[in-house]
Amino acid sequence: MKQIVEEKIENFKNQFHDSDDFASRIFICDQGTIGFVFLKSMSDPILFSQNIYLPIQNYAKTISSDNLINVILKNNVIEKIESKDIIKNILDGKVVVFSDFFNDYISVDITSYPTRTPSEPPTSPVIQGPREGFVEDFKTNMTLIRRRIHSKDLVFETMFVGQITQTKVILTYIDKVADKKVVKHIKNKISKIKINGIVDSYYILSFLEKRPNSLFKQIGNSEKPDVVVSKMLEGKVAIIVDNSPIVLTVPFILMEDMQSSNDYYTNHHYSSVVRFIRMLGLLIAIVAPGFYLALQLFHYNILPLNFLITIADTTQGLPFTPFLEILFIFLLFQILYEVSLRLPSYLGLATSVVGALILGDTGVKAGLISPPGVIITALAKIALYTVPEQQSQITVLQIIFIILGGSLGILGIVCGFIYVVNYLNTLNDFDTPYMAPYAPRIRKDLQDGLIKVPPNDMKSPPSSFAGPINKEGK
Amino acid sequence: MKTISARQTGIIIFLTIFANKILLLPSIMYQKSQADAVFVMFGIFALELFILWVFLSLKKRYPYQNLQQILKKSIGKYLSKVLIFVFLIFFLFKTILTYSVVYVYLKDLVYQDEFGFLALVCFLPVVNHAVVCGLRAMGRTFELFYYLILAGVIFCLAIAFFTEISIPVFFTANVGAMFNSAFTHLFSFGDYLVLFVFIDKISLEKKDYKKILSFAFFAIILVLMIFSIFYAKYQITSFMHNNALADLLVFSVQFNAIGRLDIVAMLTIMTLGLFQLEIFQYAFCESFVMVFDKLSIKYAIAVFDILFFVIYFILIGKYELMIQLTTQYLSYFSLLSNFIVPIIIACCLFKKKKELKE
Amino acid sequence: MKKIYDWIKKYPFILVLVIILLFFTPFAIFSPGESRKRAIVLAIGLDKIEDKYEISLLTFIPTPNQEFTESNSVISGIGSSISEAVFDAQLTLGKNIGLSHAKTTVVNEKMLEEDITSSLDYLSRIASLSENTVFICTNSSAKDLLLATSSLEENLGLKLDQLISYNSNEVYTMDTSLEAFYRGYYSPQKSSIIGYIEHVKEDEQNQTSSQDNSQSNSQSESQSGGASGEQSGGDENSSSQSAVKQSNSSSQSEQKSLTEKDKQRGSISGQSEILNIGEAVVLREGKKVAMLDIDNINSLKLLTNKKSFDTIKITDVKYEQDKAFDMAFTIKNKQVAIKTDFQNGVPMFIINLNLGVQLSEIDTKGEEFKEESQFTQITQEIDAKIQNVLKNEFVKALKILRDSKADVIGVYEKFYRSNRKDFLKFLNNLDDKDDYLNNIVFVMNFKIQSDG
Repeated sequence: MKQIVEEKIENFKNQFHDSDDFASRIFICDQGTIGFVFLKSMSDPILFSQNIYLPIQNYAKTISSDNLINVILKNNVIEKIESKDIIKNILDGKVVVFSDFFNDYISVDITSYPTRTPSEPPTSPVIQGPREGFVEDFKTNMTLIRRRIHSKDLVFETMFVGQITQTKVILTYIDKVADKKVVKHIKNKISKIKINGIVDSYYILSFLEKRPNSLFKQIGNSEKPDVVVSKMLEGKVAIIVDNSPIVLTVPFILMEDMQSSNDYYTNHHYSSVVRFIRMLGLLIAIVAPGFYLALQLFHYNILPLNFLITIADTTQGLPFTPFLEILFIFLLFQILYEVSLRLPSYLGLATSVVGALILGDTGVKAGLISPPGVIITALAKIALYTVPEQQSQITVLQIIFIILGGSLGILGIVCGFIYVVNYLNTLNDFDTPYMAPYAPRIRKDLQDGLIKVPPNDMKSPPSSFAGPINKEGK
Repeated sequence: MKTISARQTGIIIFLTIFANKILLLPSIMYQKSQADAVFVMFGIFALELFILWVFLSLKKRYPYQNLQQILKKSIGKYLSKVLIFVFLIFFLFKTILTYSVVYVYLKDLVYQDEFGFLALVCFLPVVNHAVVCGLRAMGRTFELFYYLILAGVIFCLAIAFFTEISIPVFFTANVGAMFNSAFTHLFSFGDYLVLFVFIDKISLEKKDYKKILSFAFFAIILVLMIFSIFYAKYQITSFMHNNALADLLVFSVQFNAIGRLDIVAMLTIMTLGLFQLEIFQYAFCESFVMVFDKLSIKYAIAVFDILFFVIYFILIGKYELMIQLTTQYLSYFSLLSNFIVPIIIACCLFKKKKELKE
Repeated sequence: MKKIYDWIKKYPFILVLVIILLFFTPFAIFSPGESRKRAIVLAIGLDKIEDKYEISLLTFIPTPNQEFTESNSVISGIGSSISEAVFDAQLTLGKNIGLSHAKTTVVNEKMLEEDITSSLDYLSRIASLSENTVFICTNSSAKDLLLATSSLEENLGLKLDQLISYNSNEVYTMDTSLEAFYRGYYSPQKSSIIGYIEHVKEDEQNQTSSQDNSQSNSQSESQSGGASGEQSGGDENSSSQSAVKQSNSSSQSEQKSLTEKDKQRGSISGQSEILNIGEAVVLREGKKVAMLDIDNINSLKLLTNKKSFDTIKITDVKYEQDKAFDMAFTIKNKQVAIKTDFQNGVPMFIINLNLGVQLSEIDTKGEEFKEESQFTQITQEIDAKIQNVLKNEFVKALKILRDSKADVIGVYEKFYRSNRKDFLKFLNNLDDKDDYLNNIVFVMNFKIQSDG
């Protein structure tokens, strides 16, 4: 009789290719043999012995297929499972209990692995407001969301993605607020993902986007549960991916990145001012270096005389042409940025010294670069972080606009800009206009646009996301 | 179907009426009819409003059909195609005229040099891309830029008041000169014809008609304001200033001292010009598709680009000549497109009304 | 190949970007920038030497420094037409000229003997030269004036256009710009008015100038002589130092070198002197017909609503037991209403002036004077005297205009606007249609109040 259990264990062990973290126990009682299999790396051995093995040992004489579940301590999730789900349960860190005197398989959750505690994410700190951030563990993330929405309408739907990794992807939305069509559409898309494995939420991004090759972001993301919850309240669907602290939200509009969570925790007048500055920052970041180049190379006539004199004087002795100068400074900044990202923090001071003093100041003094060039490029590079979520997009746009401004002048910049806007206006995923609520103007949603009204005036969720029909001009 | 809203239609109406009226037209109209050009404009705008009225009544009667389907019922397949072909030619030259006017402005004041190839590389891809993206994306872009353009125009007008202006001397031209002036520049008008071509892509309800009309009146008032303020500012030398909107900003000693405000006019005119080109080329492509119903819009764009090149670089060769051409020959053509075609469409409408009554 | 085609079809903008990168970017990368390719012209001077035109360009020469000071020089070119002269100047300079920042155009007085528009035609056709460029005339050659301003700018930081814009704001009745000139030229009255700035050369000055003054002159002369081109970076320090010295010395020597003429009129001394005494030239059909001095201009300014800084001086005002004082009043407030009318076929130009004057000065002539505050009241005598002074001045100015048949005060336009039919009939009855000013009766009605 014992052989059957041993065979089963052997069978599982083979399926796990004799992996070192595979663990099994056998308990022999009067009724027969009970087998336990679990992964040491995913489960807690102490929990196993205290909550499962010891109770069974204590009740060894009375144990039967009917009362086995009652014997195991109740502070763990216990469920009967089908034989096809055994492997999945083991992989999830559960103990699978089986025996030769009953046919059921019982899984007991004793999952335990090291996780990070929720802390303030470095990408989006707030001055006032909640400081919690998502962590890599999906359960914690679910808790963080559930804790904020005490409603039976909050739905979590788990799916598995990745032929090898079988990563959990959890769709979450508020049933009465989210658009059913969007939910269905996303489910459909996720189920069709064919990939070996995903290690971060970014991996499924391109599968969900309508135009995966586009430069522009079509799916929102956030590291903060309060942000995700507020987006869900607007009718969006959130996607939690196990092992990723970034939660995706769909559908996405450009305005979202202009809204920072800070805006909702401060005075709304101040928020409106800040949003305008962010908008301006975005514009400056994209256009400023290209515009400066265009002025230098094509349109000296537009410059006021005093500014022209300053530029002419400072660029007179430079070895570089204006175009090369801007490219050079741009490259310098980009290298410094990359370096400061990857350098250990104790070297940070050294980078700033090298960057600011040696490269900047000495470069100007040595007559390699001009002060206006440094100022304009630095301004653009810093303004970029008024909208940090769009950092990668803006950097690419900066290069494109430097080329356009330098090669074609202001007309090139204007045409390029309108081209980009026109393109953005074609994005209409999930019937949500990308540039809403301004193009098309959705009057109701302007309350949370560049000008923000106080929360008591925001009476209903924005209509940009809720309705399935095209909402032009509503 | 991807349709545009009433507001977006209103903005298209607003933008098209500005087409080639705010740069060269005030100056060349002054040569023929002095400050009385403002009254000439009043007259021609009445015609524009007639076209708009025909459009709105047509839309009321046939909310979902395109122009060809509407015309086919009344005047038959071939005649309807001929009418749409008139539109096609009209929009082709309208695009080219707009392009020329903007080009000459940019050449004189922004680039200060010939920059033909550069302008083509800037304008054509963007305009073509917009047409490919379709009317909905275009409408949204216009909506986004609408307030910016409006702010630019109003800024130019407001700055003009900081310099000495006096009421222009009216009633100096005789009636003949005024009619002559109206006829010569007729091709610069008739902008509302674009609406007919994408009538099926506009979703209008009855309550929106007021909105559309208010946009039209607002645009007309702004154009008339530009004309009168321009004449008030420059008076007798108006004929020397070829870029009305931009010239409203200069001729002020104080402002030149602060710095160049030209950039505002420059950006406004570039954006406006580009949008007008987009609208007209789109209208061309739509009518092309209606005439040659087997070809897609991409062919229409290709044909447009080829025609554009041929007309420019082989037939005319110079942008200034194109502007002359419009005043010399195309005014006869615009008699056909601006008067006869809308009247035919209006007749179809009445015929249908009669039939319904019977 | 098909792959590339598919790729282009998918991302058409990349094709555009490739075209830009291939055809435009290489040029842009090697282009040194407009400020190096073009000479930035700050002022234009036009002279005519016999049959040839000379164009002088006050250009800005970029010098690498951290002080952002302007260093200018005057470059001139000669040719049988203006465009040839410009080309000549470009050859000298080795750069194309950029006229967008030119704020001043100066012409030689002699050029005004013929129709000036033929000489200005080139400038009016350049779209980049904005029409609000200041347009003035000088007595000697325009080149000398520019040379003088060039050294002025270096020494005193005083710009010509600054002077002119002060004039046009405070002194002249209207803007003295190319645009204003053309507006007058093309109007039915064919008359316009432009500013006049006198330039006094060194040798014309009284020879009492001190030694250091002449020293400074020779220094600045060497700096701005003709097409001296660019200065090297090393020179800049020393020259800027000397510039500071120069300005000190010139201000010291200024008092000594003031001639009798200068004592009456304000002048600015640099290498040579520029006299701004608010004079203006009246042009008819592009030719100079008369000169207006500051008093004439001030009295003509009464007809406009422009702020007036005119001082009215009246003498021998009797007060306090036949004591006589001289008094000066300034006009603080002005309301002008002009009416035109025909009485028995005679055109009447009626000017109703509502003036608020303020007492600004009393010359007691050594006599005792008690109650100052009473003088803020306008007595009948003062009223009459002020009216008299103003009328006399206006009559003088009007005589100049009548003699030169130049209507720069808009009489034609006013009549044309309000009494068009009568006025045209009146004009038709005249032997010389241009001589209408002589046949119009001017009526001035005053209402003078104390202000302040």
